[in-house]
Amino acid sequence: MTENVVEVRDLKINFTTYEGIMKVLDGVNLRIRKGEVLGLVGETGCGKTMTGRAIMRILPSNAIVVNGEINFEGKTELLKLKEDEMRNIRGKQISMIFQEPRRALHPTLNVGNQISEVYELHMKEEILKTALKEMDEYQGPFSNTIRGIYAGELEGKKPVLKKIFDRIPFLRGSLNEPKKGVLIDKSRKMLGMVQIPDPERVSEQYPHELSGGMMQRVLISIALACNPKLLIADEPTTSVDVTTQAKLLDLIMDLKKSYGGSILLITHNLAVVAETCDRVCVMYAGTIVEEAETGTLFNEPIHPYTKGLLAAIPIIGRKKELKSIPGFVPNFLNPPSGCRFHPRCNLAEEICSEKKPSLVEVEKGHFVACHKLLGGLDGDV
Amino acid sequence: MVMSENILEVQNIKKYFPITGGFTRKKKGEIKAVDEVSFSIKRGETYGLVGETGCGKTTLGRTILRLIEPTSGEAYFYLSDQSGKSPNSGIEKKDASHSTRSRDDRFDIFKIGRRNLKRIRRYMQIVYQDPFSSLNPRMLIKDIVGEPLKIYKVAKGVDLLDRVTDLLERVGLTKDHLFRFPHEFSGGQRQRICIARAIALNPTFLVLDEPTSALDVSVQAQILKLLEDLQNDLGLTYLLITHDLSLVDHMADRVAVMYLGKLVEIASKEELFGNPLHPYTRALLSAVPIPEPERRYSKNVIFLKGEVPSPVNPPQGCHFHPRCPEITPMCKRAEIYEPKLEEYTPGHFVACTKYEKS
Repeated sequence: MTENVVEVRDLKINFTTYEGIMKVLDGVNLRIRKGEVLGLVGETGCGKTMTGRAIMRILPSNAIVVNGEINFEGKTELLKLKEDEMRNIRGKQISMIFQEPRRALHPTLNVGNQISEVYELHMKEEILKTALKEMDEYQGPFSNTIRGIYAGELEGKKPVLKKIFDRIPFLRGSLNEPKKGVLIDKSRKMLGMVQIPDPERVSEQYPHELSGGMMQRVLISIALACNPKLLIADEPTTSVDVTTQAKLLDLIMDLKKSYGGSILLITHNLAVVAETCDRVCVMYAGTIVEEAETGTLFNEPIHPYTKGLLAAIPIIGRKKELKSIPGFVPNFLNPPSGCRFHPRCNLAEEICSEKKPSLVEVEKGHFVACHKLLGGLDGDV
Repeated sequence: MVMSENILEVQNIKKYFPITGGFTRKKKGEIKAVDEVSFSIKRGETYGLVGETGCGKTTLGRTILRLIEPTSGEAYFYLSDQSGKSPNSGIEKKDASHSTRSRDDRFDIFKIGRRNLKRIRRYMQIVYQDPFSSLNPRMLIKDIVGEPLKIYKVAKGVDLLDRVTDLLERVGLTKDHLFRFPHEFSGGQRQRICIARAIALNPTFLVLDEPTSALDVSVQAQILKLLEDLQNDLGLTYLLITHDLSLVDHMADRVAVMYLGKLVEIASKEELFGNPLHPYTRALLSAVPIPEPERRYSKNVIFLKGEVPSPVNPPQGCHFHPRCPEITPMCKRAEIYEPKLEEYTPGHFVACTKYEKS
């Protein structure tokens, strides 16, 4: 069996707002296996992004984790870590591509700095080692001193001399020159990896000078700077055009092959999922309603919501009448009792409004949360 | 060309936005948002207009309604009396139209004065892209939907309220929604309100500017269904502006593809999706993800080089040639001339040097 990179168990998150408590996540179960691409699909406001942010532990300040565990690599409980321990994982082991690149990038830092920032924070040793290796070519002053300081830093000594240097105006930063060179090289290499033409020039540019597709590439390169084990891609292609979308998806999949991590692809676009993912989880109003291999999910969907979603998308070259799901996405302040989908479901019966169905394995690898399939036996299985 | 079949004819329409700068607001350049576009829309059809962000499709949609003043060009809007709608009487009308067409049935949208413009505006309406910013947050729903009726003095008082209720019911809302504000509604409901407002005056022509891009798939399906029903019931003609090719495939009868301010291909839907000619159309079609996992590996995506150039300084000649995967020596020499939209097979127009008959 392949082991799981991240396992989310029965995660419940509430938001406290002025209007009351919003039950945004209501028992989410999710397993992301090593090396796979898992799609998380659902409509706006169903809690997809919150699931991703909960794994990263960057929830909004009014969110309260009521219940649940997030297990990373079978040993670390992410929700129990202290903030500084989490900081070591965030960006290094797990990183995220955000929805809107225009808002996710810092407007007054140039692209190169933003990429090397992550690397500088997490890969101190690598930077020192590479810097030492490249010291032979370094022509600036204090080369021996720098060599000594870097070697000391590698062994864990505190760089006292550097602190003194930093107090003296005309010497300030002079000991960091070789390190800076490594970082600049790294950021250019990362930009090259995401196929940005002319990385030297782009790394000096600011986000407002780039197009949406380019910014998204920069974000991808930031996320991949430390070779994370899990990449959470939150709607990476929503704000770009189809031609750019195709290019970006192709790029993400190529990079995945070369660095071999897992990807959690959060999206509302079922077509994107069909083209990229190995497995899919369908989310509705804060719960996972169906989980299956991509092929199984698209060809033999079981949950009425999944069926409804698939019937609602127009497909090129397929004449069909679109079927819409009646009603609206429920309000989280006062969600429907029992199965949250029951007010919109055409199969709903009494039990649906009374009891919440749990995720049950119907066949191997195909999980569904619905009472109707099990003849109301759910819970005793 | 048979005139009376068309509801709208657009010829060589141009819209350049000036770029001004400096203290004196001197004109520094122009954004060529729409550059010499010609097309015509038949009565009762759904005309799809596709293109990527920033290619000028929204500007084109607004210019033909004269919500934006055009730089140059001509647009004619044809009004028909009710009898003109049935196909049998349409033939009679066609014979008569050339000789006895009264000045009132054909309107030159860009030249008529304010009073006449107001007269025809009631027949051409628009549904905007973003339902969150196109409804006045301080007006009640009854005022929003009733405003066109009030302006054209169609109804007043209790009668007005009845009309508004009818309209709301037609788009799937109820009487209870009359005295509410826009913020109380979800995206899908807001778009329904926008549609109710647009059909309030029984228009014949409706511009749908990305009607579902802000909505979820399940709600999108509801809105599309509604639009189809309205078209059947009221005999509407749609200009559907969108970036979503699958939406065009679902809704449209004919499709025009736009790239950087120009139309590159016009064809019937079946022809365009079955036999796309222009390299840009082909790249666009290949890039659309298909929600069928089996087709994942059988598909060849054509990747375009680089990004869309700026419309301030579009490439010389064919606007697409720097990114074109099928570039020929002809295209490189295209500094001299631009490929014009020409009929390649009947009803299929394409603007590409490859298909020029010369």
